[in-house]
Amino acid sequence: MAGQAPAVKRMPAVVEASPHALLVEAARSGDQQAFARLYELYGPMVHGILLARVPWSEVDDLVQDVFLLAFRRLGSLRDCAAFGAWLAMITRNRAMDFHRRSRETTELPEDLARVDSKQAEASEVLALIRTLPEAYRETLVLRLLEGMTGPEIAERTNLTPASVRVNLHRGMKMLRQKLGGREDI
Amino acid sequence: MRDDYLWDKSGQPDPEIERLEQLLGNLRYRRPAQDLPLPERSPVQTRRSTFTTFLAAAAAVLLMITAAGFWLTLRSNQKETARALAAVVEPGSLPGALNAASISVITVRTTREPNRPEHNIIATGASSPEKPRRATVIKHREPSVALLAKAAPQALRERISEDEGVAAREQLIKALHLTSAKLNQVQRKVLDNKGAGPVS
Repeated sequence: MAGQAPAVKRMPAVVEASPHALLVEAARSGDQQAFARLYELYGPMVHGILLARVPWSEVDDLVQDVFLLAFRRLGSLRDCAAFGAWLAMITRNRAMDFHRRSRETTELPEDLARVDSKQAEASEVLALIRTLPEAYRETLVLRLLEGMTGPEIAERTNLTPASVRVNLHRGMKMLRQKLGGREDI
Repeated sequence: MRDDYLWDKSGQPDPEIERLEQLLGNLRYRRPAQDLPLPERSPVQTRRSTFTTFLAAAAAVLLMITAAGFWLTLRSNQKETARALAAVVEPGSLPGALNAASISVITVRTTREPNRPEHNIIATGASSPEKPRRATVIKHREPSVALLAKAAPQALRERISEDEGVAAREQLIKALHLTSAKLNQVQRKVLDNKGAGPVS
């Protein structure tokens, strides 16, 4: 199963203006309430994508960075319906940028600052998810951690529902295998 | 059935997925939108203002280049006239200690007096640093600078064209310096504008 390529089929361009696209259009013309609504809708997606790549302690600040960057660059977005995919790309780039800048630093263990055993356990599971292929780990984080459903993930990331379903199924299977080797979790 | 729960949380729940949801849910994002400090200006406004700034900068540079070119052309014509004039005046033909090689022409003007064709070019300048002279009248019958250049010997004409080449190169370098300085200034302004504004 590990040899199978993750599904990353994108949805075709949406002809009709979706409610999200209307929000994007309003935010482009300076409506901050509309952008705040987009923040609520897409915040978990951005958080999940970041969490699949960078340490948990850094993610909250990076989420804000991504949204501020997105707001500044919103004028350059041509297709409002593609906002989700565009935002996901900005998020991935920001995560890469984070790793590029912090190459010289050594990451401390995440449970060092936390005494909560539940959070420490969650961090361990997250570390296991991070060992999965990128498409699986992103989809699983969005589903299991952010609590999004498959159709919601497809809608936000502009992936086809079929791709998301395949990634969830294969990713979960790989995670089960990894968890099977860890009796303590 | 269990895949349905993984897909859209419908159907019979999978205990392992539920446990993972509960465990990982501790790390879920819960920051309110009010925490996001958004700039006042809209992205479209910012984009438009950036575009206008660039347009203004480009227009300013174009204007500067045109003005510099015009000024350099005028200056070049003036220098050519002076050089041609200096070339045809042979040493010893001038009154007193005035030497053609040391003439530093400041201005040249022509007069059109039919009765006095021999005084139709007047060079105003200094003969040498030691003996400054002002308003020296140079006798010549042809008012045209082109004809003056024609009348010069071959060696002098070659020297004139060599000097013109050097002068043209200097002018080009000056023009490039000027344009470069202006572009730097515009770039600084654009960067300042980006830095000062709430968004960039």
